[in-house]
Amino acid sequence: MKDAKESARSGAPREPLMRLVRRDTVKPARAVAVRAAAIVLSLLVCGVFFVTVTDSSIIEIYSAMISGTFRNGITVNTFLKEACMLLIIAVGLAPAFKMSFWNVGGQGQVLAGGMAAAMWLFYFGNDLPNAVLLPLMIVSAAVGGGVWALLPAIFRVKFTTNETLFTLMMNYIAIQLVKYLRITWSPIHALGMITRKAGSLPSLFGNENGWIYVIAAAAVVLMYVYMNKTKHGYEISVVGEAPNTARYAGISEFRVIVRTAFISGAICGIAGFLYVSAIDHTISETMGGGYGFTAVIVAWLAKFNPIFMTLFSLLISFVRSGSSEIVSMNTTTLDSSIANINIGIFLFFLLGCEFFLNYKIIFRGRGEVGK
Amino acid sequence: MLKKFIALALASVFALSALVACDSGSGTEAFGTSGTKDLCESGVVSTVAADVKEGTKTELKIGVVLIGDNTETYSKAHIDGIRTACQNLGIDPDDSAKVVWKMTVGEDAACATALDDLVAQGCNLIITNSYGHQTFTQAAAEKYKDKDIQFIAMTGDTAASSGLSNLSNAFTEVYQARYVSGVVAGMKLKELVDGGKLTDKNKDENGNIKLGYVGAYPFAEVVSGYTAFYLGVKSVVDNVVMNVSYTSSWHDSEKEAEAARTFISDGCVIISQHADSEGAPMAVQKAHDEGTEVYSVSYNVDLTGIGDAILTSATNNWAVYYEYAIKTAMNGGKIARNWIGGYEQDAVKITKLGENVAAGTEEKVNAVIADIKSGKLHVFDTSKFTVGGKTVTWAFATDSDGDFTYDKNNVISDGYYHESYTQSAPSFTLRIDGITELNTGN
Repeated sequence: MKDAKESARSGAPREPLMRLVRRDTVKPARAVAVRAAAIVLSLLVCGVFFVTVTDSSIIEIYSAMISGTFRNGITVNTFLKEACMLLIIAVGLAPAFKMSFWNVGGQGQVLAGGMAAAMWLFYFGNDLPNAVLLPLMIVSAAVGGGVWALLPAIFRVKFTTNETLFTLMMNYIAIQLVKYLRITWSPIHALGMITRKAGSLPSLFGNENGWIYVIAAAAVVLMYVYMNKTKHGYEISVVGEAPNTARYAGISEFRVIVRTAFISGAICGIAGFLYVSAIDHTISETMGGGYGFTAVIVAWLAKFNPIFMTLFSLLISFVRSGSSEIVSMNTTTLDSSIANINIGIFLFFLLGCEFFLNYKIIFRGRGEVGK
Repeated sequence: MLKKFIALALASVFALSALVACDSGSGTEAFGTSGTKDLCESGVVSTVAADVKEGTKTELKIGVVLIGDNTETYSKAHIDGIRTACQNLGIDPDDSAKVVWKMTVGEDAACATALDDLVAQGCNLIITNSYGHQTFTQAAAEKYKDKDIQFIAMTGDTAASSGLSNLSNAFTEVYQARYVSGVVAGMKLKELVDGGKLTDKNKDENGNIKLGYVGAYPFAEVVSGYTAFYLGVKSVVDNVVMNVSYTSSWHDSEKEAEAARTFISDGCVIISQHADSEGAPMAVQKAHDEGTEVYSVSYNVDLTGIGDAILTSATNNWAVYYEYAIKTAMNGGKIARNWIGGYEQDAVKITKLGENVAAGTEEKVNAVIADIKSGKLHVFDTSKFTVGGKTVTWAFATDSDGDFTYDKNNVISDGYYHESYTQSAPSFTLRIDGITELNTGN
């Protein structure tokens, strides 16, 4: 009766209105149901939000969101392209997270890869054929992004620095470097496209985003195999979940962390390459529209499950293109930042539902007291 | 009135564009370095469509990509211009089935995404308003060249060299309005000199009266503007010198105010600007209120509301161009590759004169505007300025290899620099005697 004594001493005899109790396990069916409910609720709130800021009814809002995404080939391509880019970055971040290496430097790694690729374009774009240029761009982008993640990893293992802060700060270094390059490359402060022809990924299946789709699909499949079917993947989960076990089993923490961080950064770097080569044809500090940050949440929410990552990426892209359509219908009253508000609402619900998966609330008088 | 003007402009320039090899793209090749070529043979700038096909009316849907929104003076001027043009042509600018606005679109892939989206929504006249949007606009024009869509990159300069028939550039001859605003400042200066209001502090060691100019970046657009302003002042009071201070931003209220305060403490009597905030005029007004003899000539919008130290502002009247472009597209015609309009087209002006302008300013201004319109007065008259002590006889105005230095197309002939002649965007980058840049602006 220790609890009773304690409550008597603190002068709080009443049971609190609600208590949180950590759940031990969650049935998979329940987890899916809670997440599905969160998605439906978030879309509902997005819709209600739009109804309050526009003159449209909720039906008009949803049909506009759907038509803004699926109206024609151009909108579908934009929708898929955005989803794929987000997905590639999330796939890149996943192994680092699995290893409990909190890589929030996705944005910086994308920019570092983008810069590495763009340098080839700027300095050699007119001199080298695409067959030479493209491989050079891809490799340097992967190395660039990899190095951006490698530095925090080395410091983490050697000096036990906090990799969350380190990778975060690497973002700002990359952002400032991009600004510096933009001014250096364009004395009139209007860089625009570096070149329009050189270093561009060719169309695939007659689709200008074809390679992006293929690379995204390949990244998901390969990462799944790497994480679940290889020795490396096993080492990652051991280091992530039980570092002492890893040490006991003779797994080199240094090697695993550094290698995984590099792979993580390299995939983000390749996303940077795709932005430069296939989408932006230039560099800017806003490259990827902040997906380096959004992808952190995607990877984390999906628990690194490739199917969920794909699903979340598609949903976020849908909310983005749907919101953009509604802004287009109401440009005199709405601003493009509305899309970000809606993505925020969407992520809020998804993060919120994690709480209900991990804890249960016991109201006063409904549960066993002093268990 | 406006419509009449447009009609007049259309008619008069129809003739001009017949003479000008606008659409050849290779027309610029005809320039030499001698400086005596007949410019009329090869100028690429025109003020009218070459083939307005009346009768083939198109159901128009306009898409607009803007770098800013209503809270930023540069984009607001474009928004106002498009809205006015639409209203004059019976288009409701708030109807998203007619006009789709994309605001605060950066000069990066966001621009490409916005353009894709406008095309997807069925827009067939698409306008981008910032110089940095241009490469994306050009890429979209190329990507969608099989569709019946016309793209306009405002203030851009690559439409002619791109070889794309669905891409246009446009700019105003705002340097003319800068010159006229300089005349307003010159009149004030003359009044102060005649009234014995200036002290030695207001003059340099050679007895020249000091002016200050707050610029954003050392680009042609800014250099052309401050030179025109200076020459406008000089046309009234000959013994003037001007310092230029760059802020490295189009809109930075505090930096602009700081530059103005430095000029004021240095004794500058008139301070003008090519930057989009009210920082400098406010600083000038404050000093004026405290008893300093200093006045401001501003840009973009009427700022006489700030106080009696504001003389006027030079500004664009974008509605003239937008009405022309939209009307041309509605009629199924082709929008001019490079459009330019000044006082003659009513595309530039100065805003309301402040309460402290010198007596006779309005008459003088009207006379100067009449002379500009009639072609009697050329802003960049080579007999009115020198570079390194010498009269300039030739100057290139085209950067053919993209290295930011002009390498062909001399635009000096008949005794004046032909501004906005080979392209819509300003090209004047000569650093003339009497003006000193205090910093590099990079």
